[in-house]
Amino acid sequence: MDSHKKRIMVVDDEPSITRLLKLNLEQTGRYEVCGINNETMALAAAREFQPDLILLDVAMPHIPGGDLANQIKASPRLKNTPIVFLTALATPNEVSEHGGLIGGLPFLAKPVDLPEVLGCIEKHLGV
Amino acid sequence: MKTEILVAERQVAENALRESEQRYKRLLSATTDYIYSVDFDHNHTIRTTHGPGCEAVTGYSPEEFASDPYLWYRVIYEEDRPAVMAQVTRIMNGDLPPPLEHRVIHKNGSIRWISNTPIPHRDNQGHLLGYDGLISDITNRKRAEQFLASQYTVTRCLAEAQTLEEALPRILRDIGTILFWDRAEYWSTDSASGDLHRKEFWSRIPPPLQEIRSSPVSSKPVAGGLARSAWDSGEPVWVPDLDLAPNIRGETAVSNSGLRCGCGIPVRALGKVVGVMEFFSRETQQCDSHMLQVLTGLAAQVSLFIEQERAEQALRRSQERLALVIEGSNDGIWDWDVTTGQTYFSPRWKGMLGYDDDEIENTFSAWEQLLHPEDRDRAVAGIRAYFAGKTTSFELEHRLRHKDGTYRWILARGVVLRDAEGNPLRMAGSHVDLTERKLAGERLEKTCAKLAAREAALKKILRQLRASHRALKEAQLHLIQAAKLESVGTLAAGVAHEVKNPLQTILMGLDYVCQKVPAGDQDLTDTLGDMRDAVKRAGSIIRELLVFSSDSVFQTRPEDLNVLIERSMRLLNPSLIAAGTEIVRNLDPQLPLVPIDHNKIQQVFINLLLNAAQAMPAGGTLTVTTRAVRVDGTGSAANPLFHKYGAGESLVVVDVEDTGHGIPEAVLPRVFDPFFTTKPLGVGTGLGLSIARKIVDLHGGEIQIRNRPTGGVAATVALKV
Repeated sequence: MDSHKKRIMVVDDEPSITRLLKLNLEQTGRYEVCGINNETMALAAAREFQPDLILLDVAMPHIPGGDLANQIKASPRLKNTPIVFLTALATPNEVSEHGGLIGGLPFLAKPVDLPEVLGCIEKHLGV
Repeated sequence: MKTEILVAERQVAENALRESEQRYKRLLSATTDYIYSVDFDHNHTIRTTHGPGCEAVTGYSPEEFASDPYLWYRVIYEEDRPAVMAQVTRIMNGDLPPPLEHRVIHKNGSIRWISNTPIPHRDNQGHLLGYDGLISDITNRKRAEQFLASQYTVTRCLAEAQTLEEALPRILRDIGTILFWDRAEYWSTDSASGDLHRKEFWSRIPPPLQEIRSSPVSSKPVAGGLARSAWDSGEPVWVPDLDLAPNIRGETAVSNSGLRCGCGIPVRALGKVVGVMEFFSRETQQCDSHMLQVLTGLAAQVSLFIEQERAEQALRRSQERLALVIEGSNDGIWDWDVTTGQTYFSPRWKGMLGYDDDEIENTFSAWEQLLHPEDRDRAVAGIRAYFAGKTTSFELEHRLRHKDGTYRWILARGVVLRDAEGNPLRMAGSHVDLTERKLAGERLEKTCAKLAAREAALKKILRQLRASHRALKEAQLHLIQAAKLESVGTLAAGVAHEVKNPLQTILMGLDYVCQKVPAGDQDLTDTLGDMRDAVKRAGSIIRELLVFSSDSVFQTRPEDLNVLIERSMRLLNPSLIAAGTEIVRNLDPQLPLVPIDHNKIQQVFINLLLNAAQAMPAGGTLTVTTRAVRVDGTGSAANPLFHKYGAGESLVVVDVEDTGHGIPEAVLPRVFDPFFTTKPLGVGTGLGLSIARKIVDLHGGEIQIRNRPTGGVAATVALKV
């Protein structure tokens, strides 16, 4: 574990997304990424991984992203971890209409390219 | 010398004697009286001597009588011989018979009337020795008497008869008898065919002529040659000897009848020949101008009768017609003696007002008393104007009081009779009861008014129905459109998520691969760039689909559309606007605020501005106009955009116009269909106008796309204030 690198957890039921985000983000050299495809295991994994930011899919088969976000926020160790929704449900307009927030949390609307993802992450990490 | 003197004297005496004889002869030939003597011997005639005057009366000389003992008998008209013989017998019997008038046949064939006055002479013992007779030619007197008699009888016949048909048999018989014709006929035309028909005839001659009478008088006419000749010429025709005029003889009904002489006299009425009287005799007769004159006079009497008969007939018909018309028309009749005020009112006139004949006195004032007070002045003025000649006819609609107290509407018409100075003497006319007609007219007017009102109401309803129909049709189209959009939206929402994730994968993959491209491999770099663009376009389609299908809940607040349009124009990517494009703003500074969802309406205008800009790749003029509109009550036929709005509603209307290539008319109705686009491949998603319409619909507004007459497209949005 490289203590200089920010840890990013990506929770998405689509393995290709988690894998490619991991590859792209880690290739910048600034992030260490943990991809989780089974959202039921996400909370435990987060507790263990201690991410600096969580990219969280909204529409997932077992636990909706919003519920999982609540669970994370309820965890004392994770409650301050920024969460950015990465969702296929929202449109760019909705993003702007809601000030980029869903339930008070920021979000990115799929499909989103790497510069946008990086900009969002950096913004919320206060880099 | 003495002898010479004696010869000369004798010569003178002979000449004088010769002259005296000549004078005597002339005198005898001129005299119409002569004496004859009959000498008896034992009651047998032994000698008859006729005086010299006999030649003037009979045409035969004394010598001819002397040489032919029976000549005297033969010259007596056959019919008259028995009377003459009776006279002779009476003389022989010792009587002194009175003078006998009878006819003789002149040597030239003409008939003469003579008066024969015998004077017997006897011997001392009283034996009859013979008798002398004085013959006087009384032809002229006799004819004058006959003519007078014929005129008298014709006059009497006509006076006693009602019709010519009734008079004709007597006239023909009497003329024939009195003027010694053997046959008389009357011919006239059959009014239907114009053929000449024998209407009546008389004959004194026994069969075979009488047989003719047995045939119907009205049987088929034998177009009489004589009658035809008189008819056609209009002049009397006299044929002395029919045997010498085969054309006439052959055609007459009297052929083979032994008749020899005939004459035809035309009968005229009102200047036209209406009949022909024909007369025939068995003896040939030279044209007798006196007879002709008399017959013509008789025909004139008949003519007068016919004219009078026709006039009476015409008058009678006219009166009958008038009576029929009056009876048929059911009109009341009045006849006002202007000078006395006496007025005749027919029973129907009075009945019209409910009165019996004896209940209204026949005076002008009776009418005045029945007049409606409001009509009095007008009625009197109408009569005065007519009397003064200011009006050419008299016609007055007025009310008269009925016996039951109600007033009846009466139409009076009349004509005036004036004296030589033009003063009105008498005025007569008719009354027609107009009351029912008036009432019917009023009812009709009311019905018409009701019908007109109903028609207007129906027209209004029809207009409303048409407007409703139009609105329904538009609504239906909208519903169809909405249903289409709904299905598209549902589909989009369903697939968006499933599509977005693969797109995300591809995008991330491309981002990764891009970092791995060896430096200088431009082809690979370009290829990856194209792939990225493709994914982004797919992403934008998905996004727009989601916008389209997103929740229609929106929040509105009053906004100035001018401000929003300016912002939309600024948001438009300048790279999308061709160089040389002029942007014209006609923004109404007094535009009222409109309740809108800012973002959604902005999206509408961005779409419309983008379409306008893309329609002019080579540049042009992009004009944006805003204006306030108040919908009038006529349904704003000029612009169907306003049909759905009621009168008095306020709108803000925005026009976005370009000067581009326009849209083919055939595809104009489809421009709002999802995925329909006229832009080049890859330039548009085909959802812009669908989304715009959906947003405008959500605002209760209207959007319209049409081609401008001068080229290019005009997009108009109307939003309620």
